[in-house]
Amino acid sequence: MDAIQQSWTSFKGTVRGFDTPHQLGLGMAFGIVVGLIPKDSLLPYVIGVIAILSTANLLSFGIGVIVAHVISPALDHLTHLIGSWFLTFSPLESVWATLSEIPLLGWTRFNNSVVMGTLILGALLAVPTYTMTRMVSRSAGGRIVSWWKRPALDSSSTTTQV
Amino acid sequence: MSRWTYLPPRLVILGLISLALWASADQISQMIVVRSIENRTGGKVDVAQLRCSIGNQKLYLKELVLSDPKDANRNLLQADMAYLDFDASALWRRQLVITDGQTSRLMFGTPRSSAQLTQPFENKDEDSTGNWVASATEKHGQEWLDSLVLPNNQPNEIAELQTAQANQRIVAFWDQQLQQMAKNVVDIKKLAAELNQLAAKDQSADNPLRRRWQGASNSRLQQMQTKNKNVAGQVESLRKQLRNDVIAIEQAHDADAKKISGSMTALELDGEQLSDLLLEDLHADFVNQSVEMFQWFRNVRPEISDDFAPKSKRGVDIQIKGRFAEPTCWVKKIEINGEGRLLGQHFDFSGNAYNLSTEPELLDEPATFELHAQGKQHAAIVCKLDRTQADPIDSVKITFPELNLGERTLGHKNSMQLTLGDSNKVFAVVDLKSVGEQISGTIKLRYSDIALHVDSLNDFAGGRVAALQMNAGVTAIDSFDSLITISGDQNKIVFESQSDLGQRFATAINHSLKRRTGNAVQQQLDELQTLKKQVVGQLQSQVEIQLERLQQAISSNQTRIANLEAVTQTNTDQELRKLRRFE
Repeated sequence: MDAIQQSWTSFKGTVRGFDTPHQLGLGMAFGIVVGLIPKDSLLPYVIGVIAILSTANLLSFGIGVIVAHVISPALDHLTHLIGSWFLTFSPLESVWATLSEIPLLGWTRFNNSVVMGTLILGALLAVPTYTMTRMVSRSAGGRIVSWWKRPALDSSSTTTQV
Repeated sequence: MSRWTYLPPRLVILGLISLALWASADQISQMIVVRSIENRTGGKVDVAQLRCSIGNQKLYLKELVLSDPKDANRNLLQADMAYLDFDASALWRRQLVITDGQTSRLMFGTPRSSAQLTQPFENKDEDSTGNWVASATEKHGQEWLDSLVLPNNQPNEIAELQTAQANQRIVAFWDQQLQQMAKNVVDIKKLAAELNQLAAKDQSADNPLRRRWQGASNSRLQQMQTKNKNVAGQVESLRKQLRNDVIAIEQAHDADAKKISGSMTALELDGEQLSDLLLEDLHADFVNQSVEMFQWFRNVRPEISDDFAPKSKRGVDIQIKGRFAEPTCWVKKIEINGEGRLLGQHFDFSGNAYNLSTEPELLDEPATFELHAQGKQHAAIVCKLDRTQADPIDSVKITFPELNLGERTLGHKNSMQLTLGDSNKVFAVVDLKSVGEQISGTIKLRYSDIALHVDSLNDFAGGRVAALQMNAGVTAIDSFDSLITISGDQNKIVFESQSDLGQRFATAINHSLKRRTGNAVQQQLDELQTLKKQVVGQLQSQVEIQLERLQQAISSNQTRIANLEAVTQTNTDQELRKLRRFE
């Protein structure tokens, strides 16, 4: 019974964002990576499952996905250049060839310049995103939680006074 | 709170997501398939139902419609149903390989229904065929007229011929001669009478005057003999003249016969030009429709670079070095059963298609269609679309075992126009090939059960009368062959045609016309012969008889003169002997 109670509390925290700054940062980092990668690849879904199974906060993950998904197409030129460079980088050619032989890996479309570029860019952005989110949640987390948990009665009582 | 307490609710979330995905697998598959095709083609895809069984490796699509990305009013293809067997192992490599499949009521290029339409429908003429080549029948007709060797059908007036003129001259001459001869006969008869008198005097013996008349008679006899010989000479001369005149008439007759034969000639038709004139329209139609069919087949498998308008694709798929490139989608074999339009006619077709792919350049074999079309007409079709080379190579071979053209008009009303009866049958083999933009090929046509009728013929070539004469000849033509050679590119198609129709037509018509002209010539020659025989017969009957009579009279007189000379000589000898006795 305790386990169920704790799970319910965790679930509410997961959804409402009452987790720790680490979990919020992790969620945002995963969200940015998943959001950047084009969705016709298997990669965002695999990373998404990993994010769900991790301690990452799902709300910040969702916010990260939406934000990154919106800005991702604008970064296509940059991600294409990054991906193309990596995919045609001679020392890595044998790695790509080996990967391409692995069944199911083709669905990741890792040989697509934008997919590879967004994966690399996402991976690069993940650490600063995590750090920044953690810092922000530490400094402003209390106020955000207070604002989030503000009683709905305040507004009605004000109205009554007026 | 333990370390893993966060996990159960998340597993529940994942479980719920998985359950939702499993429950809506068909809808998700449908969405993935639809989105994939739409992204790749740029056209709108409608699928009423999609069922996918990865375990059984089967895919079922119902009422599949793919709109033409470049024509919102038209569907690129639509099929009532499609049962597809796919290779599940290929899915691991992100490949869709259809190993076998069936489609029913597959149709290409159909107009979109009002429910499918995103824009108001613009009605386009479905039957219209591309005008790849223009007909030049009128031009060929004028060329034919210009090159015609015109017939000379002006009959000769017998009175103006040499024979008649010679006859006139000779008859006039002999009329005169006959009068002269009659006079000579009278003179000769008078001479004969005078000789008879002399002979009578000679019979009266002891005539004391004998010596006196003998002296006078000798000189008279000399005169008579001279005259007789003169007339005999004239007779001989006239005989020679008669022979010369007969020869002159014969020569005039021969010259006239030659003139008559040359002056009445039949219309000479050139086979090659006739073929061009009569079949230009028909062959242009065949070329237009064949090229149209060829283009239709080329468009059946859409050219990805030209016909599709893929939605903006993110990034570039980079070919990994050392890895063999494989097509994303490959239909190895699919049974096609559907409808289409060929030569402006509706066809139900069935058959197989092989090696259809979204990346045909990665395959070793060309996309191939082997179809049997059945409708009002039958056709066997083999079409190959080869994208394995640098230049696209397409070929189509269509065999129509018994094509019926219906009633057709051949030629042009300004020159010569024929009607081809509707009972015709044509065995046609269309064999076209394109390499890049260049199109080449042949169309072989074998026409049988042909019934031709000459409707109109330019007055310059003989008009209605000649047309009637021709109709007697064209019935002999019941079949002919044609070979059309096509070359050119997408912008300009040219064709050359060869056919034995023109030659057969010319042979039949020339034979008929010559026979008729020959009859007219023979009639004139017969008239001429009759005239000649009449004149020669007249000469021979009248002049010869007269000359013979004259000759007989001359001979008789000659005998009389000889007898009298003999008597005179005897009397002179007796007188000489008497004188010698007295001495």
